[in-house]
Amino acid sequence: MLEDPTHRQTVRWSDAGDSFIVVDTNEFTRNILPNHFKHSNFASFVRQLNKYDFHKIRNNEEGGGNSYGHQTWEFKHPDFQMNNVDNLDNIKRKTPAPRKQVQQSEDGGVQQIEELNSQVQELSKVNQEMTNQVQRLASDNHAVIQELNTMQHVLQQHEERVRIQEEVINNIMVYLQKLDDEIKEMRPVGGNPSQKRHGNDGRPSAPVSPENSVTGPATSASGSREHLSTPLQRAQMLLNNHPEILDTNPALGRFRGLSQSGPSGAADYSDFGTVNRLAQSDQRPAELSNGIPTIPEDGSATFAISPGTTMVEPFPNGNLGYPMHPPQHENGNLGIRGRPAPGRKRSTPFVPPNWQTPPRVLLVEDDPTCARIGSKFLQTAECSVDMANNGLIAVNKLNNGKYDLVLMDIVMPQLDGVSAASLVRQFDSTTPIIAMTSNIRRDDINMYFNHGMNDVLPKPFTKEGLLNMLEKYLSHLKANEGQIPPQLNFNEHDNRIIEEQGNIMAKSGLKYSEPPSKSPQNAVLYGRPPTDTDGDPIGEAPSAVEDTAYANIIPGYLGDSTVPHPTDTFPSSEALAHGVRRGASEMDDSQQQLMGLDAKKTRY
Amino acid sequence: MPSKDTDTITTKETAAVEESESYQSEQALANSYDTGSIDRSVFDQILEMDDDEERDFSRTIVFGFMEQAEQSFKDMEDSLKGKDLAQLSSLGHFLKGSSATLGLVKVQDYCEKIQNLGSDPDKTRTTNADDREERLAGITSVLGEMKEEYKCVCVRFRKFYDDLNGDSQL
Repeated sequence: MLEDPTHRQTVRWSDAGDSFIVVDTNEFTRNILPNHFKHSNFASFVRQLNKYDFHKIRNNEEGGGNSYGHQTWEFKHPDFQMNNVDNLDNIKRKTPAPRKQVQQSEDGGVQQIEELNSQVQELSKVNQEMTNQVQRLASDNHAVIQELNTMQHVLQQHEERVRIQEEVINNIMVYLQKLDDEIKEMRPVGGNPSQKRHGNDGRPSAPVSPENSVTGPATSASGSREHLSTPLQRAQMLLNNHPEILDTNPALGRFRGLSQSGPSGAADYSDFGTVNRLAQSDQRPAELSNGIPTIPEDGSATFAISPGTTMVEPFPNGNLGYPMHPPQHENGNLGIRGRPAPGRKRSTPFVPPNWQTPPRVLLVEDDPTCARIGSKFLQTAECSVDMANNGLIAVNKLNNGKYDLVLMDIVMPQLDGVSAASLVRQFDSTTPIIAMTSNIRRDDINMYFNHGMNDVLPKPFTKEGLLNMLEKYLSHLKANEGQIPPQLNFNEHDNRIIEEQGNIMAKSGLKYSEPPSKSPQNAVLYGRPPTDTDGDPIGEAPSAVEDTAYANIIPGYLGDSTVPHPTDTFPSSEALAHGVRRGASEMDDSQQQLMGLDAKKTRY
Repeated sequence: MPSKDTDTITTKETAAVEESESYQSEQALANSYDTGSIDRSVFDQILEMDDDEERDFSRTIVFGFMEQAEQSFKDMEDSLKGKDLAQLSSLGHFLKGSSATLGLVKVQDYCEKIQNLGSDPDKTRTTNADDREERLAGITSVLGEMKEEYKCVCVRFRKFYDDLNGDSQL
């Protein structure tokens, strides 16, 4: 339209082409506006132009530069140019009701900013949490790695120990073999005079044994003849005892599994011993009639065989801390089988462990019924029992005295068991504390562990459960395990590490908690333990070794036990590796649990 | 029948004899086992602890428990009057422990119910008066059932220990 020459005098492009000029407003209003605009009103047109962001160029009216005439109006818009149609799209009506519009957009902006701010805050919060979690995980991971290192260290130590024991056993067996050969050579000459002698006069072995020890191992041919088989058989019993002990105590904790490497090696020898024993089975009755059956009448007689064992003292094993082992085992067996056991008239399956010294157990329980029964159980297990009927008393007692084990009720007046355990852990990181409670949901148990408790004995506790705990945590006090305190070592070592790390109770909870709960025995513990008392392996095992059935049982043990074959002469590395793997996977589990807990805590 | 003054007889043997010979008196006891009142394996452990034929140890335990239980019932009733749910929960827990130790599984269950009804894990529900009343009513009814159950067990216990000389079983 602006190009149209017919309107040239009315409206046209400016010379520069970047604005248009209404030359004659009257003419424009009269002739052109009505065709394109609904109002025939120039002011209205101008207003509309303004709304589309056209601006009137005012300098026309000023000065002499009024090149287009007096009444001209020049309008300009950056995008309204001659020969440039594309830009027309950019010419937009300012949104209607511009004032209001501005306010709205401002309000919207504020809202948006607020929204964004809150989003940012949320994001940073989430980020913070994630960072925290990562840190936690990292520290947990660190702890796990530390513990793994500790475990490896302990494993190495243990391997070393096992190797030494193995050497000792080897020496013993070689020596016994030698003695065995000797007696076989002697036999055709000497016949069985001593066997007859002892069979006839029925003399207990006590007087005989010292005699043997006097005559000495190498030179005594006739004197030690019937006893030559005794050390061998004793060794067999000892060796077979190992898998048996381990079989009956699977709950001894994760590292106890390692000690299987010991007996497994040992079993190789017992296998070899069985062969020997078969070769001289005729000698066994002699030994039986002389020794074991007569012993039960006289408790001290259980030691009578010990001199017979000291006969092997030429061994270098004295330096290796092994020499007392065989007699102790023998002693334990005989004690269980035949000792009159003062104060215990009945042959219940509740066989007290053969303690070196009575373990000092602190029973913390507010309920008189539970306390009475618990202390009675413990006394029957030949522990020395001290009582506390609330957590406060317990903490004081633990602060003032030394105990080997603490059995701790949870819900108590004055101070509950969990708090008490936390307090105790501030000055005593080693004494095992076992929660006795009927609240054994997973959360509860985790809480106990996180407060430094080592295990859970569900109520109502059973003698099996209690005995398992004693076996698990006090095995180092047992007479026949006195020289293998791996658990003790581990605990001390581990605790030291943990203290060095400056870690808190939660870590010791982590350390103690999960592995036991993964052991099959504990799986039983959390439920109600099997109450088939006749099947009690601890009670049954020793008495099962009846003299007559003895020969039959040995192959059974060899077959049943998880012991590898004799060809596998030193299988401990495999067992150790297994132990490590097991430990590691347990760690994973506990880790996952911790993560689960954390996740719960951080959820908002 | 084994004579009581023969101290060579172990309890295991005695128990075996009792199990085989006094089957009928056993039956009475078995009833209470059958109804699930007493977990025999738990209670037997306590009987095994007895050193003498008078069963002094288990007798002390059982009668001690009865005293404790009756006192607990009284305390529970008082707490019900005082509408003290927390105390009821605590009393329930307390009696739960000892009843469980004796193998009184039903009493134990009732105690646990009371403990749970009285407990207030969220700390919010106690503010609701209706809810409180509801739970107090629940405890009242459970307490009633528990006392009935206790009476049955109690009668058996008393009979068992009163008749000990007459060679009866629990």
